[in-house]
Amino acid sequence: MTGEKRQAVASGKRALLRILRGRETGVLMALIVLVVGLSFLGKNFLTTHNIFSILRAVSFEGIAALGMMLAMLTGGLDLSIASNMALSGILVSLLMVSGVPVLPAILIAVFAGMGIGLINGLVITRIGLGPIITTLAMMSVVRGIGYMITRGLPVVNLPAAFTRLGQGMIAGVVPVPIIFFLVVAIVIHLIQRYTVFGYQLYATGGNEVASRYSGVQTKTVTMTAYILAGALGALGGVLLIARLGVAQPSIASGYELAIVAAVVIGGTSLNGGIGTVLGTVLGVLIIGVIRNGLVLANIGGYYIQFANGLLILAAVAINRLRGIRS
Amino acid sequence: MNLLGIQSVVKTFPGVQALKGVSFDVEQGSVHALVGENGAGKSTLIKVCAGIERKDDGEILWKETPVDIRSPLDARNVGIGVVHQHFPQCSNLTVAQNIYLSELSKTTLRPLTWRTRNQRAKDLLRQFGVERRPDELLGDLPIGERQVVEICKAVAMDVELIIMDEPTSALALQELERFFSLIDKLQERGITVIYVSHKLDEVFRIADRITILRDGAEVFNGSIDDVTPARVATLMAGHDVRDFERATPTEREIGEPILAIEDFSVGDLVSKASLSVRPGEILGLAGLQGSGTSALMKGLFGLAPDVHGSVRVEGTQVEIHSPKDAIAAGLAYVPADRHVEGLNLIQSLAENTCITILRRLAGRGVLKRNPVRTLGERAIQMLSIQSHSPWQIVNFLSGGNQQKVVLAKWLVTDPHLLLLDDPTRGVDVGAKSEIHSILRDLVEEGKACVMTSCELPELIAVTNRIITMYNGKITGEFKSDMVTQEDIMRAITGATMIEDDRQEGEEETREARHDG
Repeated sequence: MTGEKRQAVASGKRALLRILRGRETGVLMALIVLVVGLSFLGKNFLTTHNIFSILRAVSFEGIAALGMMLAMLTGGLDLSIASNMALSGILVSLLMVSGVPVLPAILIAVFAGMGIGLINGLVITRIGLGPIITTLAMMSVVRGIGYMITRGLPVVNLPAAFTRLGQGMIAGVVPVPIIFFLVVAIVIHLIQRYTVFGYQLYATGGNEVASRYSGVQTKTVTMTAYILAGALGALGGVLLIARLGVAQPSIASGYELAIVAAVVIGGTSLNGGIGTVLGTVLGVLIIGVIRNGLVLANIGGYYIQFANGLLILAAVAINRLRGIRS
Repeated sequence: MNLLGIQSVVKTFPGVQALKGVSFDVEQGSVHALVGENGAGKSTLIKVCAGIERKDDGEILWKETPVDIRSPLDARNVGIGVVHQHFPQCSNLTVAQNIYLSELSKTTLRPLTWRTRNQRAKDLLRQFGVERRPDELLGDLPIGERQVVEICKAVAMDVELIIMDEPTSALALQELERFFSLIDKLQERGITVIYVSHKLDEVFRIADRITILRDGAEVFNGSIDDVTPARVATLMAGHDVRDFERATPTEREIGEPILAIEDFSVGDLVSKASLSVRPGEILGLAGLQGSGTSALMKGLFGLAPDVHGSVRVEGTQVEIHSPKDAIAAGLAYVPADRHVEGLNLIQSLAENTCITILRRLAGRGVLKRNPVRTLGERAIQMLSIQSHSPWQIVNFLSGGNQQKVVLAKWLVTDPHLLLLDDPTRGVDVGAKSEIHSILRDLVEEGKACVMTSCELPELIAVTNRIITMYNGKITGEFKSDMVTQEDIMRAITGATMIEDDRQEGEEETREARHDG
């Protein structure tokens, strides 16, 4: 073997090792084991239709989960994200029902979501309240606004041009929301890896003080992360309503826990600074596959919350044990 | 008699053999110094003795009998107490509750009475020179007194051996004397002390015996009288450490000041300080904890609120309200605590290095991976950082190499002036002299440095000029090649100010002149 070849082999080995040791690999393995296990359950699982319906089902929370990951990378989290989904869904629906065209209505709803993120970010960075208590309070405030402006009533008669975004298929097989999820995931990945903000985000989450001392405006970075979380929550909510065809203030209740579960399972650290888009997407898929499996196995939806809670505990424990070992 | 015997102790961590069969004996009643560079195995050895880590092989003898120490509780039952470098304490509990914290581990629902314990705690503290009410909250005590509480905690447990890990690193200079007398008092009580440090002046002052570790094995073992500080330094490093004395950079009288500040105040921490630094100069700031040296640097770098006064960088008046402004003005700041303020430990060398110049690297917006890697590689080469890759996670580098990463991330900004708050704190002898030579190279290029150090000899050796501070005010200015430690000590303890005020002061000066 020539020296160059040997070097190439060695660097290939290193790359392989890095992949095997990566946080995402464990998540991927778990997903594969789940999929293989469930495929023995019956022939209904591994069908194109079922796979795509799982993907579509997780797209809405998946988009929100990417926002949650951004907030968690700063070392915080956004518990108001599911309420944000509901409120933006209501907003977009009310706007369209009162005659605003689809695209402006969506943009306004997403801006409203960014506004909620801005409030979260301002309270956390300027007043210095903890992210948990801040977003927990905002969770109730935002959900409350949804009930106030609808008086608890569902908003119906949404235009077909809108519901197509949630219910439509491309080429008759690929549901539209999946495309949104995929595009958002790619964009966030590119932002994280190839922009100044991306580097600053990881640095701020890794050590806020050291980053501030290095000239990073950490408050702005943290605020931006919450604003993006708000925007993605809103986008997820808008698409969810497009899928359901009706907006209700109670929609997406309790989703925040499933979203946190997905992000944590994907390897994002609760202390901030560690986490990837790939991991989060895999985490979202695990949640979706388990949910689908519970239904297919006739265990039923009453077990889903129970499973989500256990998954969070398991994921955090695994990350913790991994940290201790290294 | 030997109180503790370490025999061929081996400890391996994934990838490193931290202890390669260390053996030495600790005589009862002695002060036994354990010295070595960072990574020599001191900490691991302490952890093995304290029951925090298990040894892989070898034996630990206690009074000539083998003992098995599997937990901190075992260590305590044997009679070993450890005062850790960053000792964990319950600052929400009282002084007495902290001293008798170990009794809480025995108590479940049994009521505890604090009257006698409070009295005992008070007596114990007084014996070690601290006058405090036992019911004061520990969090309200200064760090030096908290350490005394930690030592009292060990004494209250009736241990026969106390292991102290870098005990003076947390102390201000004025607290050192009390600390040394405390060691004497421990000896009077018949308590043996293992003193882990790399501050050789302290070691030579208090130790009877010394063990030098290098790369996980002992390289010297014996009486302190059999070695000189220079010999110890050589044995620790395994190579000749450059002499401090030759370190002073060559003087350059000419040149506009790079930094000139006038009537510069930072809250009530620094009041109306004026000084200037010329290109090619390393200026030392000497002062005890709370004297304002650190606050002055933070204030200059836009890290403190309530800053007043004029700051000129290379003749231009500047307003610095944030690190961003400071960087734009050509300043760099190496903070005192690299773990808290300097580094992002969970990320790589390259990512840490690039953080100060992200926008420049990004050019028109897209920040590619390649320039970041190149920057990391350049840092490794420029400062000879021991790291196998620019993507190495900083947490796994040694202290000296971590400090070089902090330096690297500032050098890439190409600063005109570096503010360095104790840049060699907690780094080993070899890295220390490497950092000194990096600073010298920088000022050779016409840059300037302002630095502090917790070791006066270092400050005198490395700088051209020293400005002393006391209570937020500048108290003196000295040429480093003509000053003694005593001169500086007097200026930073406020002694010279008292002398100015009092007649006795004048008499002393006259006497001194007479002696001269």
